[in-house]
Amino acid sequence: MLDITASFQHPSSDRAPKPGEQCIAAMNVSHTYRGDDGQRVAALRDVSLSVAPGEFASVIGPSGCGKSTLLGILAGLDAPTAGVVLLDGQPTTPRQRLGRIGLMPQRDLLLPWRTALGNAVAGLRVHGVPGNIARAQARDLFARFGLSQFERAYPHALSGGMRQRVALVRAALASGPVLLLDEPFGALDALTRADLRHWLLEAWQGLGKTIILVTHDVDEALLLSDRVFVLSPRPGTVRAVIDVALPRPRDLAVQGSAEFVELRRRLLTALEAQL
Amino acid sequence: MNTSITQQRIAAWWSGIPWHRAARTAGKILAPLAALGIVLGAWQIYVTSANINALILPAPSQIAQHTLADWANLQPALVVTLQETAIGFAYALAFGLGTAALLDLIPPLRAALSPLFVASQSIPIVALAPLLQLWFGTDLTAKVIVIVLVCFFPITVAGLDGLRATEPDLIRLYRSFGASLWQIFYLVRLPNALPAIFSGIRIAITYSVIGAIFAEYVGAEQGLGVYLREKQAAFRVDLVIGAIAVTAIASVALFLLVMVIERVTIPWFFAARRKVAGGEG
Ligand SMILES: Nc1ncnc2c1ncn2[C@@H]1O[C@H](COP(=O)(O)OP(=O)(O)OP(=O)(O)O)[C@@H](O)[C@H]1O
Ligand SMILES: [Mg+2]
Repeated sequence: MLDITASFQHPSSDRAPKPGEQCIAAMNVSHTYRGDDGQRVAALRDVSLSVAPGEFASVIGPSGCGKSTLLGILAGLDAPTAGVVLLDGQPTTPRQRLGRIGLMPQRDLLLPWRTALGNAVAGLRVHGVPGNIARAQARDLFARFGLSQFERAYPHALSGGMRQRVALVRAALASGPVLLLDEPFGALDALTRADLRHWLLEAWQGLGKTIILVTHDVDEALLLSDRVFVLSPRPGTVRAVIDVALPRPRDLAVQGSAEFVELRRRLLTALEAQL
Repeated sequence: MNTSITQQRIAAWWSGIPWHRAARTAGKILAPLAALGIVLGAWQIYVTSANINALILPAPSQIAQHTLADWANLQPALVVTLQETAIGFAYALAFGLGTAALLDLIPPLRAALSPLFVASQSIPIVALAPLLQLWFGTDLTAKVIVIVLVCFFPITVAGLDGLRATEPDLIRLYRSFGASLWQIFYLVRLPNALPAIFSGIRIAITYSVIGAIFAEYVGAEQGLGVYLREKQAAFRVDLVIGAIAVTAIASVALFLLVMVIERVTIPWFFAARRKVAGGEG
């Protein structure tokens, strides 16, 4: 079991979600792909979820159940075949969401011709933020994320964990408060994952982000989230919502507690029920 | 004490030199030069020992000697040809990259035109050159058009392939930033296409010199093509071979120039490639 002992505090009560307040929400979202051969693949069916400002939510579900599809729709990259996505309670078109929501894909997708800092400001540059201002913002985050020494390094000279951290800074800078993370640590070893969870919590609490994290890892979901959405196999739909009311920081003591073990059992049961 | 520090410094400097890479680079240059030397040596020995008529096949030493003696005539011809090459290549580069960008941004245009470009490669430029001369005379225009025709294709195809090779996920990421098509083009796809574009340019630059000479050969007042035709008519095999060698050297020099520009323009590509290849230091 991994230990996150850093002195992270729960978001202060003034940032805690007020009842009914929603930062990003999907209402009855369904999505069907039409393959090249004309065959239809129902990826999502009637997914409704709502995430409050400052909340850390996780989405967990079997492979191919539509998790990436859901994030693509939330980010505005794809139009759902049915349903709407609300931002701050307002219905939006996919196009309106582009540029407002940060997305961190599974692979870091850093540009090999840009330095770490140049990659981190990619989103800001698209928004037309002047170079020196963008770099100053990125430098601030680099300092917080332990990347200061590597500002001028090119991606090929960075380790996998550092590249992922640069990608996290880029996503955090690219947009408003909502950050969507698609299995961002999937390809990394356990120690590096633990390290990156630390930086992710820093991004969440230090920067006041609202996070939706897609993960395969039950422990990761419980260590990080306020709530976990469990999706059914394809076509994905929300099977269970599990509130994780564990104290933070979720150190070894919390991980050994009866509550943690019980939540873990419930989560695994919800996942297994559908197999 | 002092000497030992100096010795340490020298040792550090010595071990800091990337010998592996220096040796590899030297090998890359020396190996083909050695092979060329062996061929020329064999040629020299064969011609002298078999007593071949110098009017049919002169020895390399003789060719070098006579070519240098005629340098006063050859050099202006070379300059003219290189000027035409530079102008023609610049046009080809601009047209080629412009066409690639245009076809890439407008898919129906690509669908309509790219098969025609491929088909156009079966048109023998050899047959077109006399027509161009008929239409444009012996001035620069005809030659520039021949060079553009020869170089346009490799540059356009490389540009199109390079632009299309961008990872879809990377484009999605930039769309999620709210990037416009144009921003995606110049921030992601164009830089991503540069290595491919450079390999197209490397092919085109060698074609360009040949294209210029060919156009001159058909009809011109000055240039290497004219020089070649005149010396051939005068049965000066030595000077013809010498001019061909000078042409080859000029082509190789241009090729190397492109490689140097490439190293300076896209160092990240070579750095990343070295890493993939596992090459160290
Ligand atoms: N472009 C597409 N065309 C057709 N079908 C697709 C397309 N993209 C995804 N699918 C299908 O939709 C389903 C959901 O895909 P998605 O990538 O959202 O799953 P996922 O939950 O993210 O899986 P994983 O955990 O393996 O990443 C899959 O069955 C997949 O085959
Ligand atoms: Mg996925």
